[in-house]
Amino acid sequence: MRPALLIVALFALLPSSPGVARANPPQGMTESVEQQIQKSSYMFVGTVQKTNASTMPTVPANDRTVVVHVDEVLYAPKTLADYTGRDVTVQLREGSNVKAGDRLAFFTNGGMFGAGVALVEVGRVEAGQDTRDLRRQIVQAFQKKDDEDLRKRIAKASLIVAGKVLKTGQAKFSEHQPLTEHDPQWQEAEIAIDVVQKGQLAARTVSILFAGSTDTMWFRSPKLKDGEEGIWLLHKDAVKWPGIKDRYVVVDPLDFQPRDQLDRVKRLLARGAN
Amino acid sequence: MKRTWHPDWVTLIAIGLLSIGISGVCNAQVLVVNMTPNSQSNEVGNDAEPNLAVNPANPSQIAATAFTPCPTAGTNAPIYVSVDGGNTWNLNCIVPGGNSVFGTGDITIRFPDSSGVLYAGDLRGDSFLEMNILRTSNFTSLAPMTVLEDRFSEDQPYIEAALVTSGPGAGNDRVYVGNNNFNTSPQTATVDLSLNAATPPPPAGFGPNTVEKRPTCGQNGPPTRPTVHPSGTIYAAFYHWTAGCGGSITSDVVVVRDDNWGSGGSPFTALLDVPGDGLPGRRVAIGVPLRWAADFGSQITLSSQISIAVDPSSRQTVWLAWADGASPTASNYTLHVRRSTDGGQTWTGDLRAVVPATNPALAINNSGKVGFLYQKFVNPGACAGGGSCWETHLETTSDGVRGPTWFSPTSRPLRTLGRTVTSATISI
Repeated sequence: MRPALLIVALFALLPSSPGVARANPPQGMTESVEQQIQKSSYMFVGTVQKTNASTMPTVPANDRTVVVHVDEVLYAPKTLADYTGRDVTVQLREGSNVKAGDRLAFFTNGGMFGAGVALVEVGRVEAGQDTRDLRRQIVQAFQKKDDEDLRKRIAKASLIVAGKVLKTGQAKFSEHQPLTEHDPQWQEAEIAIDVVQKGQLAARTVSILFAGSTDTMWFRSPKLKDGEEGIWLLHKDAVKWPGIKDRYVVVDPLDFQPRDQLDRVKRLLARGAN
Repeated sequence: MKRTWHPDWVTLIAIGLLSIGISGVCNAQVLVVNMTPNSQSNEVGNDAEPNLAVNPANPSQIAATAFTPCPTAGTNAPIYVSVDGGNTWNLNCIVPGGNSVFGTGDITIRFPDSSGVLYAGDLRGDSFLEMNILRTSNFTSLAPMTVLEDRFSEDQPYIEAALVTSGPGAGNDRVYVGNNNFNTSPQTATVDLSLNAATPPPPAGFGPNTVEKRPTCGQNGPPTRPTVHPSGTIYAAFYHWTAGCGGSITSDVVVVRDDNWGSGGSPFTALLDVPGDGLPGRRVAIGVPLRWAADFGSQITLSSQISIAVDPSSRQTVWLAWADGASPTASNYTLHVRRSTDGGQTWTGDLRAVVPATNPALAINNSGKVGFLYQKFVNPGACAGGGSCWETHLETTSDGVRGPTWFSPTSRPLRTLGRTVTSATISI
């Protein structure tokens, strides 16, 4: 789960309050609210203070920039300062407009950050005083996105297994291994298989490669540990690297799933590749 | 690389150096500006491997990069932006393919003269060894940079750019991206170039040119560094690894040259190793020892330390700095600075040597003043308790032809650091 989702998760449990957020995007916006949420990294309810205006000298005011007072933050990364109660600049989507006094839920991305903040609008909906439905929509949209991301990764996997890591160690190659500061430092893990969820495998164990490096390139990659149990999405074409073409690798954070996610993996696998 | 987590002083250094300026005088004040915007003053990111570009047409416009994520942790990574000569800074999240912790991988940026277009070469933060070459016509715009080239199995894109001021192609931006292209192993030293990069749609003429012409032990060293003279003479420097590609490396230090913007059928072959093996690429040093990933203070040696700069007032005058040394403790890791005044054919001996040190970066201004930036490991140092330290130094010389006499604009190291970074660079 995204860390910031915790902020909105509790609100999703609250009873519904119908009619506080419009289900459809404003005229001219072709994406659904769900799609807009899924493409956004900062969402808030705000009141438009001024059109054709900016809070930042480096973002000149024009007919697409508006100053918005942040009334309530709906979703924000933990690393971002709290802008509640402050004015920010929003660059509207092309061809859209708002007027001073409008209270709206903005779905945005950064943006420029300096003495002020300028955000790039992905979309917006009208917002009432009660934002519980909106928060619920955000949670649901991200849950759908998380499912969709995992479904796509499942579709790409050559083999999906559940089991336990028997041992790990440094991988060995006969081919020249590129020297780069971004060396994945390939490690090899032997996994005892309980379930083959996708693909064919006669053996009861499988050897897989994972990146032991914590370099900028590999820090998110799964790091397998002796005795660890789980589900692994194994790929043969995820990384172009000498000597690994015919070997199974796990490199994406989604390539490891906790064991209790097996039903979810099965469900998403059943949805197929499209 | 050992990752050192530290606050934002990494980027402070860059602007500190810039503030001194290569034209600094003896009593120049060192102005240190915290580049992290006030709104993000609580950030504790890595912010490593900074790079800095000044718009020659408007020196108050400065862009910088580091391993910094966008504050909203979205899909675009930021560049640092200043429009007031470095006094205040913004983060502008316009680099496609960021991640929420480091932003991008290796990233460098350049403005050519006058066009105001900013170019970048980076390793995407959302992928593995995937290089992008990017541009924006307005680096303060909120619009994402345009991806001009996209290639996997890449390392260390390092960008330079220039404007054609007269003759054929006048007005065109010409952009050169040194990189280590594992798709062409075992000869991996590569320069991607475009002869007209500013406006055409992707790929805007970009394409790779392998500049290594000799056999290697499996690959070249990671860095291939270009430098551009406005007359159209392009140099590139790289390590030609001859043996020991597994770790204890023997290498030549090679400079190649092209005299017509890299536009011919055999680019970067104008400089032959004569006397020598007669092949393209002058071997400035032969058989130097390197050790991959030797412990070195708070980081490791990566045999990635090379820098080259051509004198804007003379296309024949080119300076080169590199590091070598094979001690497992990096105690003999030595920076060498040399100069050629005949287009790279002959070279001086060491005009400057510093040991143990790393991260050399050279730049030359229009007056011929040379700046040499590096970081020296001192043990015992001036850190608390007398422990080991990194010192960041900037030295300049104006009498390179006669001497040179190196001069430090500051009477003491710019900053004494407990930790350091890689790939520090200076730009003028």
